Amino acid sequence: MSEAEVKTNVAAGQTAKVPAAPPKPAEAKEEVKFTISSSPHIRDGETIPHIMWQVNLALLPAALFAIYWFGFPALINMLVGIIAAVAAEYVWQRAMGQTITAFDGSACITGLLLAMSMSPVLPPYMVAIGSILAIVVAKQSMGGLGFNIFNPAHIGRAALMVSWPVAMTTWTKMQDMSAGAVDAVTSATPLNILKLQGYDALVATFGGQGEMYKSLLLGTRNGSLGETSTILLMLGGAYLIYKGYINWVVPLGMIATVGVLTWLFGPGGFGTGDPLFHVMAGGLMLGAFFMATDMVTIPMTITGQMIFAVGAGALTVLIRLAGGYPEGVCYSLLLMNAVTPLIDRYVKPRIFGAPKGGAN
Amino acid sequence: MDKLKELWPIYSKGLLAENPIFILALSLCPALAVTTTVVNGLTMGLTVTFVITSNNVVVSLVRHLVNPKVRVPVYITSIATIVTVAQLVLQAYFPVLYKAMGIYLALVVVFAIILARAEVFASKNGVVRSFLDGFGMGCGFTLAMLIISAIRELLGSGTLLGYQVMGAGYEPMLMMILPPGAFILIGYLVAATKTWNARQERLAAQEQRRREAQGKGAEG
Amino acid sequence: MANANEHSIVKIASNLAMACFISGLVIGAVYYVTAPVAAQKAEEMKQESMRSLVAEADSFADIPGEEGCFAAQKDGRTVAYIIPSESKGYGGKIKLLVAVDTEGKVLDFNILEHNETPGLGDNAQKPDFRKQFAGKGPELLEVTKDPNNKENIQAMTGATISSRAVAKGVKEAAEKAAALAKGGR
Repeated sequence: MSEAEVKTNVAAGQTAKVPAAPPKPAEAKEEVKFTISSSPHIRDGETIPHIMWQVNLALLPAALFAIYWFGFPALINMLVGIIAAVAAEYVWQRAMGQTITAFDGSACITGLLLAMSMSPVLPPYMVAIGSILAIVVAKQSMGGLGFNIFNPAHIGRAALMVSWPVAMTTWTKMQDMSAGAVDAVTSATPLNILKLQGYDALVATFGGQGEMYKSLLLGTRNGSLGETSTILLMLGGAYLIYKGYINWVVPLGMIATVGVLTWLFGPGGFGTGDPLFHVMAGGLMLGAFFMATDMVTIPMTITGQMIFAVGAGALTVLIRLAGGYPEGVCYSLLLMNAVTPLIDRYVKPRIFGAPKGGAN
Repeated sequence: MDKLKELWPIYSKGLLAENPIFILALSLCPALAVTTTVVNGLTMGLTVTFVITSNNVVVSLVRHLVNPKVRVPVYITSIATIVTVAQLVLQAYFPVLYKAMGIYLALVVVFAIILARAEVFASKNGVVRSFLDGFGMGCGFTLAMLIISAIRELLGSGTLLGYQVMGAGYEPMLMMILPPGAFILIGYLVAATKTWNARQERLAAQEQRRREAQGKGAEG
Repeated sequence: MANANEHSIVKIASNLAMACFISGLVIGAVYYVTAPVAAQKAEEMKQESMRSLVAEADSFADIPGEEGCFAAQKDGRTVAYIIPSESKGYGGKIKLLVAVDTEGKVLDFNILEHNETPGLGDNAQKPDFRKQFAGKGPELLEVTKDPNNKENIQAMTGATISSRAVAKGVKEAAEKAAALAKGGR
């Protein structure tokens, strides 16, 4: 690599440091080969950093609630996740002599989502390793943003899951942590209790079905950092849908599939399940709104996205009800990521000149 | 001296330039399967070195006696014999290692690298050269197995050769002793070897150019 | 060279036959040397494995009619039984070797073969889990997840299926040993 190249790279890195910044540096970046991703949003002149920071913003309420609910460790884990992801991307791009886009917000989302999808008591260094694996293995080694087959945050989480299964499935006892928590569930997530002890025991731990729904909705329950508060996640998701950054088909399709299937295959036979519980428990909300909608790793067409959403929902239910793990959102999304190219091949986008919704 | 200069590349090309695992991408199956500990990786490496070297010698010795129409069956018979011998010896004297190798020991018979060296090199070259070629390839294979298994054991179990080296506080990263860790690791090692070889080639080319330029300068 | 006779089927066949004959000779010769050593080593390993289970025993005798079962003896008197056992775990068969005393209480066990998840199910080999079995009769060998239950076997974190499988295998062996003890063998 010539010296001149190095210099331009450094320069690019510096301009990119102003993230949500005015169109100038961002547009300059548009000209670089990077933005040829299949993202359907480029058409309206939105820049990648802008969208990415908006997604971060949408995650903020749930993240803030996590800090309130789980306390200081949650903040540390999220910060570590973000810093490790951004730093890994920056170092990789420097070392490879690429244009530096580490500060465009996408690495930040990866780190934040990763931290939010894991237990709050996970040691921070594990979060950092997960972030680095997510960025280096799942994203940059595949060619960077737009070329990754799998959602980087999910690869990071899956890698941690096989690496430290015990730490990844150890949950906090929340009474000691947050003053506001009254009769919080101890040491097991609702899905864990369901898997190991059954539905009745689950309702009993919450002290009634109404209480259970309430705590699931508000997020006053145990679980991964950012997955507890259904209502705040829905709020963030709704904002992104309103802004047009994500399509409602995927989250709704996935959540509906989970609801219908868990209702059909209930514990007491056909049609006796508790869809409300399954929809709000676990990482479904986080997964459906913020991970299943990752523009890079899902099919391009609406029909394809529908297949993706239903498949992810069905696999989630399969893992939750019949598999060895209590929760299956992460693995089901990874599996659907893997078949995305196949879906895209069979459900081809129309190459009919229409610019509006052309890619859709 | 000249003789040595001629023979050295035959041996050394197996180490990096044509490393069986990292460059030729042959025999990846054992590289994934038995490299969870250094001892296992080393055992497999040495076994393959033994098999490939002796097979190359045997094939080279009999290369004029074997009818070309049945040369592959004969080579396979030879490989199978040598592998069986290795297997019997391991079973008798190192039963624990024999158990750890499991099915992969018998599978050495069908490792592509062994038949490839017999067919490509030993059937066309003399005994000394064939020996060096096989030994070089075996060493390259062992080297690759050592590197892979050392990294996997260190990260995946926190030990090296069974000794605790990472300290008691280290939580082993289990992914590294599971297949996904091996896949990822081998991918990066292949990339690293390719980069290294490309760099060597570039340096050699530069050197050549420099010499040529000097030669011209001297002439002028 | 290109003589038709050169490639006749007879020549080719004899060529191959010769290769196989030599191969057979070599393998036979090596086997002749190694087979007794291998058998002796296997026997040694088995004895060692049993001795690690029942340290006080000085010899191990076959129990007639019970394949693979041994009576651990000290001064000619049976002090424990070694019973092989098998059960289905998370990743496939788990093969166990269980030592049970003459009253049907478990002394210890060894896992001979398993395919459990590293880091979860394979913790069954570690003393933390294993020592829970010592001194328990078959009636107590049930897995529990209640952390306050000290009577039964505490499941390993994240590996309930493996815990149950091991407990079941040990329990079956303990029952078998109790039956053997009753039979006066």
